Amino acid sequence: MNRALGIIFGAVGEKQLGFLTAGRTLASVPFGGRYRLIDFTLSNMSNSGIYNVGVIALNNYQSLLRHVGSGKSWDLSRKNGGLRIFPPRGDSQGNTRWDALKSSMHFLTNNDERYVVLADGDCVCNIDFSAALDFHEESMADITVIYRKKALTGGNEKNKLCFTLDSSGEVVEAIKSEKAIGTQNVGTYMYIMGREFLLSLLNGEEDIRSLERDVICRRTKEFRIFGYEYDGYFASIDSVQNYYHHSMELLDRSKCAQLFDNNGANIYTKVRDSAPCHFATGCAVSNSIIADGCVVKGVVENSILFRGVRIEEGAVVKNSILFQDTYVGEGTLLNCVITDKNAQILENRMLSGHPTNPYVIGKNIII
Amino acid sequence: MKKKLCVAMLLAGGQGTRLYVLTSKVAKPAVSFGSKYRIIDFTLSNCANSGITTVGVLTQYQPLILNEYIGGGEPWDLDRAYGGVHVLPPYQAKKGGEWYKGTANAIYQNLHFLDMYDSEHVLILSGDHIYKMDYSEMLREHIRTKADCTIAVIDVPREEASRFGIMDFDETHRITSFEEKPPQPKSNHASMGVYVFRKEALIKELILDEKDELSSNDFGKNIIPNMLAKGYNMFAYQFSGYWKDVGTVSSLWEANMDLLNGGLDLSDKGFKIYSRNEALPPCFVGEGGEVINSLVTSGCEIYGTVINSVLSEKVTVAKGAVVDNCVIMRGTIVGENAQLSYAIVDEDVTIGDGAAVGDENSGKDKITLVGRGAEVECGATIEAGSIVDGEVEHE
Repeated sequence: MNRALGIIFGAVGEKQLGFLTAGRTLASVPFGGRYRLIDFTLSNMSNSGIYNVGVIALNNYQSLLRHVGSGKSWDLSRKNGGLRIFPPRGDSQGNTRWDALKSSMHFLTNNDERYVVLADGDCVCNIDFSAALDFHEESMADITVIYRKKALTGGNEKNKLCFTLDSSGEVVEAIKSEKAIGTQNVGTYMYIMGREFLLSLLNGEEDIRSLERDVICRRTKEFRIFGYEYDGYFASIDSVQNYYHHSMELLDRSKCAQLFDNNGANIYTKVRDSAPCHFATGCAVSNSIIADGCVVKGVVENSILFRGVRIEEGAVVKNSILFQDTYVGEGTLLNCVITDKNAQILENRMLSGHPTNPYVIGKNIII
Repeated sequence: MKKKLCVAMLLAGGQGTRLYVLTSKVAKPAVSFGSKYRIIDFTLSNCANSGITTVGVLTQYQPLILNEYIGGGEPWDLDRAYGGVHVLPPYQAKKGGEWYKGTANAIYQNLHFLDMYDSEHVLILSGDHIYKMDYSEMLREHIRTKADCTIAVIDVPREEASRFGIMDFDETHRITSFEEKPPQPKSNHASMGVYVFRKEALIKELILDEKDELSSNDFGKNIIPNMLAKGYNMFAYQFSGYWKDVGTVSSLWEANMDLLNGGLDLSDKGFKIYSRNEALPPCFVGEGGEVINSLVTSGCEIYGTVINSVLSEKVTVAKGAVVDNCVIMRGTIVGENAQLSYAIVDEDVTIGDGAAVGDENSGKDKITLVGRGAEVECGATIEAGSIVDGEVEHE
């Protein structure tokens, strides 16, 4: 029998990406040229032998459903277990992780795996959960929080927890990341718990509304909470600015390699069967990620082109992220622009944002 | 179960000796083509796009990679509860077993497969051609004309006609003569090796052919001429799109290049060519990289110059390297300042720094071949038109 269930939070209230989450849930936001954010966590679970995975959807989850389908792309179309999507229960469901867990108690009750791995749908990383599960077992923890080391300047990480650990790795204090400065053990929103333990909290008398505030911070001493360090590439996407920042990080090849090939553990996604990318005569592409199905006739620098993007002659695209099937007409100049699916920027347009505030063009918009 | 109207039998056992080292480890249909495909993807995708969901793939020569590639048929939407894709290798039975002696014998040995699905018609295909064709239109014509056999025909240049099965037909497309590889062809109507048979007629003729000890058990040489002589209803189905036999090094190279000059469109969303995809990030072109008139796919990293070339998954072209007019298959690494011209480089090859392979003044008749897993040493020179063997066999 498998050791652990997986639960993925498809959306969390405080994480908003403006236009990019206007028509879709956070977990299905496109990332890295051919992926959706949820691909990373789904692949990590599948690569770690977690084949019974529930995704808790919140709102606007049509694109998520379309993307994950039966779960086959992640090897999660299984006779026993496999991938399940839990849509919200009516309007009454709140948008915190704890609300989401409350809504999916049947999933926790009706399975017998000993542990549960919880993760947000926007965790961009390549982690081996089985090693983390070994750690959880060995330390006989009630809760294992997965963290990474990061230098904080007081504001560069929001809405996260920072943990103080003792020599055995047990969490002695958890504080909010906004208050912390210096090298910190920053939470990733990935947790491991005993299934029965989680159920007892969910069924308990105590007034718990937030896993972070009411369980981890307030009851640090009461429970055995341990920290497990993940030291590979990690990004958590919670704003347009950090979406842009982390996307551009993929142009750094060492980060890209850490993310996409961790000892042979690959990241899977839904296949679209696009033709190969066609670089035409006269194009000039540099420091860019170009997905299949693109046709490039113009200039592309420091950019990410998703599948099926078309760049016409004389167009210049710099520092931009163009989603699936974006069209850039002749002579058009783009700088620090994010275009959503199927946006069409006709000829001789000039659009520019700034790295700290990229210009976002919505889905199907024609300019 | 509902009877299938038509079942396809795909002949994929050919050794492909004229591709030399490219087929020393794999069957011809499993050879990489067009950046992210293998040759057999075209026929399998044609089946899927034609609504033909039961396909027997007859394998024989070096079947391992081909079998693994086809798997359950999921990439071509051919994983079906009833039907789907089945790999049919030669097998041992009570009466003994033998290798497939010829194309007709391969089908004969799998008559039980045809009986199992009991379709009314059988489509015979070969797995070594590059083309996009809707077989359902051909099948419709076959049914309309009440033919016993319908042969897909494409007009080829006169000077090449003697390489094919050549036929004549009247204004109703009824076939009046058929000659396999005639020295003096009477027309330029060439058989594409795509046949639709009425199943009963096919089975009857296969059994008769098997009894004939002088027969070479081949469709073009025996079955088709015999049926014509016996007065069966035989019709030609004219096909006019792109079609290419990639049985030789120059035709394989040329067909890859045709993708760059618009000879064959792979981006038609209504008629996709499917392939088994590996989980790889999209391609990356680094600073100083230059890619011109080329096809590149997932997992590639380009830091050098790539011109008029077709690169498969996970190909790396290092700084200062120049690759022109080449076909480079998956996993190959081209070292710094290496020069490759007019070459077909097989999978997992390492081209050392500064090596020179082929000649930029070469052409399609002088393609350099580098075999699977070969290691070309740093600074080495491989002359145009030569063949470099790949990895050594396990003893």
